Amino acid sequence: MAGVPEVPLVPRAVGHGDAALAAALAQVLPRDRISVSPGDREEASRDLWPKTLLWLRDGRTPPPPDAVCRPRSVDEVAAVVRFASARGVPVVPHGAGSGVCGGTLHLAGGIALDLRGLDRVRRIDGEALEIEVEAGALGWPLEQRLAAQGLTLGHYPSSIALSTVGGWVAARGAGQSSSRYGKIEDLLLGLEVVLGTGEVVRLDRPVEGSDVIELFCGSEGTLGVITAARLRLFPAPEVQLPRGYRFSSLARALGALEDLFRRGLRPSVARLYDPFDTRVALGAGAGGGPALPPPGRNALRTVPERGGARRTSVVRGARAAALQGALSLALPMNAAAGLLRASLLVLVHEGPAAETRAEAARTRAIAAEHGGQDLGEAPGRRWLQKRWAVAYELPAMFDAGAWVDTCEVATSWGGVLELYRAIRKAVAPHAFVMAHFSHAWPDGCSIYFTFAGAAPTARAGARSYDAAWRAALDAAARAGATITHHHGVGVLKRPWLANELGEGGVALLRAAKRAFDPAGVLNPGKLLP
Amino acid sequence: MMAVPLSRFSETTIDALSRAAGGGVEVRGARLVVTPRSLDDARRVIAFAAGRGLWFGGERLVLDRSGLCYVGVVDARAMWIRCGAGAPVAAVEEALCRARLTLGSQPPSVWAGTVADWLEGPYAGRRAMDGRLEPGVASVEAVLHDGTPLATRAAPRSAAGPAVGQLILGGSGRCGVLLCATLKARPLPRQLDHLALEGDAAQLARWLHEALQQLLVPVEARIVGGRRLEVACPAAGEDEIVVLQRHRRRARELGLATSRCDPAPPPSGAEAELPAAALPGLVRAGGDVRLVRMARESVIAVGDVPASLPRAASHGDLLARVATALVGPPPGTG
Repeated sequence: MAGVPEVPLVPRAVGHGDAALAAALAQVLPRDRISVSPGDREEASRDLWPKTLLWLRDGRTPPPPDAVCRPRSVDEVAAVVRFASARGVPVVPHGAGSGVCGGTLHLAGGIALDLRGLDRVRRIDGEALEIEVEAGALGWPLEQRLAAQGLTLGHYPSSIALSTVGGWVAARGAGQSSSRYGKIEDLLLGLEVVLGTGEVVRLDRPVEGSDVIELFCGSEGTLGVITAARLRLFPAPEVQLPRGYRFSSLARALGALEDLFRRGLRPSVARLYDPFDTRVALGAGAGGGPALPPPGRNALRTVPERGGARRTSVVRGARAAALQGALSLALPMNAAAGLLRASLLVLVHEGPAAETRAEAARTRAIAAEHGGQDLGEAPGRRWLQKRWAVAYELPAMFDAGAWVDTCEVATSWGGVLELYRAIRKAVAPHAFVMAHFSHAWPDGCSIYFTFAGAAPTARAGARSYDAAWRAALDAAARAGATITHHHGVGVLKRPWLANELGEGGVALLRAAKRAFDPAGVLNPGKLLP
Repeated sequence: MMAVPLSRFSETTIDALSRAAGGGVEVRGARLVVTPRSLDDARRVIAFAAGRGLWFGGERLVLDRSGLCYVGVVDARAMWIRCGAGAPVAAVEEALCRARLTLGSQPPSVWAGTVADWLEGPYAGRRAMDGRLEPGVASVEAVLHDGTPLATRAAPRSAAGPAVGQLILGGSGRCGVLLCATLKARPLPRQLDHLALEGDAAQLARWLHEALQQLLVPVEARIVGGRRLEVACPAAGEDEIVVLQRHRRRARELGLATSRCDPAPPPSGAEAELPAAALPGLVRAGGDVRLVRMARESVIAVGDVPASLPRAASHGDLLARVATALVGPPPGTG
């Protein structure tokens, strides 16, 4: 299969946008909601795809949009889409920009449709346990508002402070507690969507016959602009019982994880660390992690200085050199990591008190059947305390002259261990690899790999980055696994999507595109091969 | 795609269809019925027909999938089973039961039909899993009406674009013809306790609604005469006993009397998928109604279901748009 797609890059110095386009847009949208300023254009030119940090180090950036629109109502969204459709101007819907696959890049300029102004909670129904909320609402404030009413969405992506409801649905995302509450598609009861024609459609579940919501969920802005969603709510859990178990091998630990879920137990969090990641997880101190999610995306968009890693002190420089040196020896590093054996399983049970305690007790018995050593609450408590920390750590790696990214694939239980080994082997020459197994389901689970490579220069880093991804996704495809469990496709994985969907899947997707976006203006260059 | 009256099927076309289908072509009244014996035959004959502008699924050209009755080996770890579109659902369930698995609670029409009837029909192969309504299908194999093969990848969950296979599920063959599917199963309950609750209709509906919301869902339920609710709940493990205790406690809090009862007889009668909001009206209406495939947002009611209750929504208009974009407007015949 082809590798990671080339993205047209421009010098980072972004100027003003298309004034004529802005003037024309002012006929359908108040002028103060249209921007062509360099700052707004640059902000909308990229998301949190880690590769963009390598480009920035090199003084380059993906093309910015020609204009940024900030509608505040569904009618305004529809007006902008109709405008764009009539003129053949590309429109890329934007949430808070937390995507990690380049799904909101402007490959052909056009309009950035910033939906953060549509952030109203239209309705919370504590009786029916559902909420209708607009697409631009940010996750963390929404969850806080629900918590004040004794409710929860149960959707806790690590990006919760900087991701929106619309983004979750568009990318078919998952939260850290998905094993109990489900992925976003499991929470979704209804959608409001502006089609590429400018029509506003409202879809509800339950459905008799084909469920077209499933078509918009995961469409990454290519079939319609999601403007609101109706989602399931849950009573806030009465208790939360964290636990950790140590197993003598990854295989035994996986056996326990599989057994738990096949027997119908549903801990909210289930994270099984491979032997190297176990060392990291057990070695992590109790302090240091933020109690709250990162405050905003700027904290994660640290832009290293042009020309290589920033070295503001001798100590920092030495650390960077050591990191680069170690990562340049990816193959032996991976071989050494392969000698480790023990694996840590972290679980969090939550829900009504009596049922949750019973579930925790049954889990302890199942873990013991598989030789698991009960480590008590400490590992689970530590995980809860540090659950948002990783988002802070990634930019620092780039700063030190390395690159790091995460890859989440999924398959059925019978193929999980084989898939893990296949991807580790494939990526080992290009990057250091570790992984944890999470988002477990009765029939299988996701494997969440972390790849880290040396980037002595930005371009050298980009080469090893592309090679690692190509090796990983080729291996996933060969193993018959899905190439993404919850990050989505974006630009990064697009060449592998056709293989996953097959000829018929691509034909259906193209038909949906023709039906809902006949002018082809919505997020061009994404999803469709 | 143009409609093709039977009289316009030339001998050559019929011969070619017959060859592609492995010999299974028969004129039945005004219809030409093609019965492929294998998946390969089916793919070949649909592609052949598509190449000549013919569309299976109309009045005149019929694809009989009874030959695609393959029931595969159970993948006991994933709890998946692959089976042909023509396989009787009851046969699939039998195979699963031998492996201590089940497709779960489903209405009588599902058990009486084939895999294709279920997956392409109104219930679209969905299942309730601990109160969550989700696709009961890990993957589908089909042929689109333009002859293109479709084979979705089996995975527990995926974010690789939209779930395009959903256009086949519940689509009544509008976008393509289902040939084969990998179905998701779940463990067969080891033991069921049958509990009867009696009292005020509103409180009975509230009890049931809360159980669904808390994802502590009975396997099946029966409403009898507006004053009695019978539920079947798993009762083998300690955690299942705790759930049962909670059910009893909550019933008492709501002023409902509880007692053990016998298993309900098999359900029969009219079927309708109802939103959960219709439950109070359904209980109040009295009659004898069985509830199957219960999820937080909907149940399938079987029996005395008042026509006045709200039904599940339909996305048929948007599906039709996709189908038209795929193969053009639907033919009137043929």
